[in-house]
Formats: sequence, structure tokens, C-alpha cells
Amino acid sequence: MTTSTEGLEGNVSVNILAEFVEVAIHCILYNRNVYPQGTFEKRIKYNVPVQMCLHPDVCSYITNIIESLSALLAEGRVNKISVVILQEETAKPIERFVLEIGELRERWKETDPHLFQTEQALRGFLLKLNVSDALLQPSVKGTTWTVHIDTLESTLVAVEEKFIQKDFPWVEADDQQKTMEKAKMVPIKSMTTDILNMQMYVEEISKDSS
Amino acid sequence: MATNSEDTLIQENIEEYINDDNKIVTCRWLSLMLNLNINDAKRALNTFVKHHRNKPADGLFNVTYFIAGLGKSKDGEPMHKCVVVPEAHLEEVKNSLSIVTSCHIYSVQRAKLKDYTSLYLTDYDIIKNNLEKCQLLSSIKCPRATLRQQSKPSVKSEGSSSEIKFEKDEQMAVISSKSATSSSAKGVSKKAEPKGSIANMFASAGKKDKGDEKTSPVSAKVNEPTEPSTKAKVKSKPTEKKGGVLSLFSKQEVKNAENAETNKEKASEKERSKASATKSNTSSTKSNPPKTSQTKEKKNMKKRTKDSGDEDEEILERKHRRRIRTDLFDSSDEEEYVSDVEEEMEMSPVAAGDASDEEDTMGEKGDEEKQVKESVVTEDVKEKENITTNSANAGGCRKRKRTQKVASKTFVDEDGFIVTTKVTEWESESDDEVMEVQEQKPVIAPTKKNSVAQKAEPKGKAPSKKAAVSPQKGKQTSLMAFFKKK
Repeated sequence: MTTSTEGLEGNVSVNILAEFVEVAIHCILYNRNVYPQGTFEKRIKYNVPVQMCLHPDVCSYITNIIESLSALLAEGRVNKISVVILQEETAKPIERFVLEIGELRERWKETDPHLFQTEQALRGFLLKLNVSDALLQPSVKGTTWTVHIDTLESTLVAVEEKFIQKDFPWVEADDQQKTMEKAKMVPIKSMTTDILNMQMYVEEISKDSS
Repeated sequence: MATNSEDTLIQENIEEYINDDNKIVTCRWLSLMLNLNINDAKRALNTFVKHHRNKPADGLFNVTYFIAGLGKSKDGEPMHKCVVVPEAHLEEVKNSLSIVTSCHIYSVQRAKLKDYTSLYLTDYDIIKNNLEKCQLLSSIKCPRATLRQQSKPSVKSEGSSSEIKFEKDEQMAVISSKSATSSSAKGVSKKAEPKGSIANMFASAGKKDKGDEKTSPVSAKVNEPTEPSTKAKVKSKPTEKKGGVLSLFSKQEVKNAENAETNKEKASEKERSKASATKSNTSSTKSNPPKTSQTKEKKNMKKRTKDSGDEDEEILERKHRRRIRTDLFDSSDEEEYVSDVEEEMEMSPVAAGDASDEEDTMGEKGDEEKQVKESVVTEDVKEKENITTNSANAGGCRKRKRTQKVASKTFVDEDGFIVTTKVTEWESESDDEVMEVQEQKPVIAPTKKNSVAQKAEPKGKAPSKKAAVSPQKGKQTSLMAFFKKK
């Protein structure tokens, strides 16, 4: 019983982080005009309205990403989660929304059992994502997107079979998508809570390079 | 200047929020952050926009406006619209409204907002953290709206309410006791109510402690015209009064110890009174059934007091006076007289307690005695006379013996007060003498002083005596009548 409860409690922080990543992906897609605004709908998350893409393929794709992320977080360590906006024709990255994740903590059980502070911090993250347009270059038409996860090889090996079983295998990212020439980093938000430390920044290419 | 400096500081803050922090500055958010009234925040945003719009380098921010006015719905029905619109759609929305009632800047931000979710996110946390402050900074105020915390201290209010209840109960008790005393003073005059009298004792007990100061001056006033020797006696009265009914028994014991010799004489007198009991019953309408041993003891005490000439005995006699005075009030049937008495009762709560004592012990006293007491309160000899007359009125041979003691001589002193001197001689026990004594008393009372006593004299005598004696009889007869009816 203790092991099962500990497992559930350990999954709480994983689930919280996975949920936020899902919301953040939808928010980025909405704000960066990757898909038309008509495909988005308002939903309530963290007691505030958020935009969610209703396209089924997009939703299933995001769902698979989140499940894989949860598996990776449960088995090992994930350093970064990046939402990369690619130029459709060249498949070169234009923007990269990087979410650096610290080590998950269990201190929130005593200090923030109802996760009010965590929820407020995540709302702040979403707000900054919504207003990140002012800090970034205007969105460009003809873009696509992908997700990169920075993790340990051992962690990937531990869950690789599960990904294959779910028909959503992960492969190593291309060097072309990983590197950005003359990139500029724009900090968005950082948060320090009892459940995890996290920060987000955006790497975008300069106008000259584009 | 102070306002200008404040305005400049506010403008600097707004610029910092927008340009450096990349925040959405709404009027409510600004008002809560800088503790500004909502209208001042709106003016500050307006001045910021006007000031920075002229500068092309700083003009890279977006503004949303709040517009309210009369418009039409899709169905063509008139409706009042409140819209938050970006600056690009401002004129369009204004044109759609027939009357614009309100138009002000709602928010300023660098980002180009795609929807209102960012505005809601901006205000959500700050409003949530400053729920109480929102009402204070708003220009719309509802006097009926009160903070919940002010009404929350329920535990304290319960405690205070309970305390208040107790205080009210105490007040009610005091009031009831007052009313009881007053009512008892009235009611006792008509009917002797032993319960009410006992209640008055307890009710007046609390008053005695507080009212001793009041009672003493009253008694002092009454005693002033009397002899100087009585003043010393008056000072000792408050302590004596506290005894109540118990003091009677204690007095009796003391008297019994002191006057062992007199008891022997009384025993002989009792034998005589038994023989003359039949005569007294026929002569006086107040005649009573054979008295209890307590009444006999009381009579003995009266005799003892008469015999003793010491100051201690005089003090004891004073106690009897008080009782007699209250008896007067209680037994008198006249309302006018009672009203006057009530005033005195209020002044001297002790008298009420004494009245109850009298009811229990000496409820047979007559109006004549009352008049005499009121008028000649301070004189010890008069008390003795009253006591003797009371015993005589109560009916019984013993009373006649006492009347022999009453044979004391009365005269008007230099100050104009009637003074009675002791007559220790034991004279005849005949009824005629008793009647003479009774006749002398009414004469004495009016001459002594108060108009109140004069008024009370003619009416009070016979009926008051009957009322005082009657309670026991009346109860028995009423019970018998009740069973007969069934």
C-alpha cells in the first residue's frame, strides 16, 4: 500500500508538469499563429481561460507527446522541453520555446498541500506566454512545429519500448533543428515553487539571418 | 507640486511596467498596484497614452478602451452595451452606439492582444490578492455592503450577548424587585401577602447594602428634630437593620438573658391576660384567635424593652420602630397614604425589608401605630407605646397588660415634639385602660408632625388591623369554600 501511495504521490508532480506543458503548447500554437484562430477554443484551466486547439490530429499529437513526457518524467530526468517553430519549406527552426525543468520536489506536501501557490505561478507563466508577442518578432506564415525533449539516454532506453508499443516512437532530433544561427534568447518567465523550479525562454533567429 | 510629482512618479511607473516588464497595465491593476482610485488610474493611463503617443519611439504599445452606451441588439431591441475593444475598433464601436455613456482607456500593453484572456489573467491574481482593497479603491460604493470580517466575530458577539443577557436579567431582577417592593407596599396594605413580603426581603437585601447611605440620611432627617441622644442611635441603625428576621430572634435571646426577672413578671401577666382574654375579644373588633408561642415571645420582648432603660435596649427598640413603620405602610389600606409611603420606601429600601419582616412577625399592627411612628419616629418611648398598642390591637389579655406599660406619659417638649416618658409601673389590666391608650395614640400622631400621618389616621385603624390579622383566616375560609362548592 505504501508503495502504491508513494507512486501516486510521485505522479502528482509529474501530472502537474505534464498538464502545464500541454496547456503551454496550445498557448504557443495559438499565439504564434501556427494554426488559424478558428481552430482554437477557450477552456478553463487554473481558473483562467486558455486557448485549446480542437483539431483532432493536433490534439492526438499533443496527447501522445504529453504521455511520452509523463513516462520520461516518471522513469528518469527531463532537462528541457522545447517547442520548436520550424519554417515549413526549409524545416529550419525560427523560434524555440524552451522550458527548463528542475528536479521535482516533494516539499509541496507540507508547504503547499492544496497547490495554490503552484497554480498561481503557472498562471503567471501563461500570462507571460500570452504577452510574449511583444518581445518576439512578428509571427511568420508557413510554419510548422515540433517538440524536442532533452533527457538522459538511460531514461529513453527505459521507456523506449513503451513508445514503440503506443506507436509513437521518439528519435534523436536532427542537428538542423537543434542549431540556430545568430539566435537571440528572450527570457519569458521563471518560477520557483515547492514542487519544481522552471524557467522559460525563447530562442529566435535575428531578422538578418532570416 | 506634490500632485505633479506624484503624477510624474505614476507615469514613470506605468512606463516601467509596460516597456521594461512587458506587462499589461489595466486601470484596475494600476489602481491596486499603486493604491490609486480607479478614476485616478484611468486618468493616469490617459495621460500616459497622450504623452507617449507623440513620441514615435515610445509609441509601440497597444491600447484597449472600455466603451459603454446605448445600442441595439441583433433583434433590433435597444440595449446597454459595455465593450472592451482594441483601439483599432474604437471608432467602429462608437458609431454603432447611439449614445456613448462612458469611454475610457481600459489597458495599455505592448503586446497585441488577440483576446481578452490576457486581460482577465492580468486582473485575476491581483484582484484575488486584494479583495478587500478593491471596494475601497472603487468609485462605486454600496453603503450596505460590509466586509464579512466585521460580522464574523460571532464567538465574541455570543459571549458579549450572553453577558448582555445576564446584565439584562439582573436589571430585570432589580426592576422586578422594585416593582415587588412597591407592589408589596400597596398590596400588603390591602392584603397581607407573606410570599411577596419574603420576596421583598431578598429583593431589598441587595438594596440595603447600597441604600444604607440613603436610608441613614433619611432617618437622620427624621431624627434631627428629636433629642440629640437619638442621633447616636440613628448611626447604629444600619447595622441593626441588617439582621432582618434573624435579628428578631437574636434580640429575643439577648433580651431573655438580660431580663430573666421580667420574664417571671410576664409569666404572671400572661396568666392574668388569659383571664381577661375574653373581655378583650368582645371589646375590640380586632380580636384574634389564640396566638402562637412566637407572638407571646414577641410580646415578652416588648415588655423587656420597656423595662430596660439602657442604650442597648433603646437600639433594639429602634429596630422595632422600623418594623412598625413598615407595618404601617404595609397594613394601611389607603392608597394615598401608601403612595407617600412608597416614596419613603424608595428612599429607604431597608424599610421594605422591614415591612416583610413585620408581616411575618407582627402583621397585626394598626394605623394608629403607624401614624405615631411616622410622626414620632425617633422617640423610644413612643415605640414602646406602639408596641403595646399593637399587642393590644392584636387581641389578647396580654395586650392589656402591655397597655399598662403604655401608660407612659406624653407631653410636648420645647421643640414642639411630643415626647413620651417611660412608666415602669404596672397598672390595671382592664379593657378600659387599653381603650384609653388606643384613644391617646391617634391624638398623639397628628399633633406630632406630618400631614401624611394626619391623613392616614382616621381611615387606617380598624381596616388595617383586620387586614394584617386576616391572612391566615382568609386562606382557611377560602379553601373551605372551595371544597364546599365542589
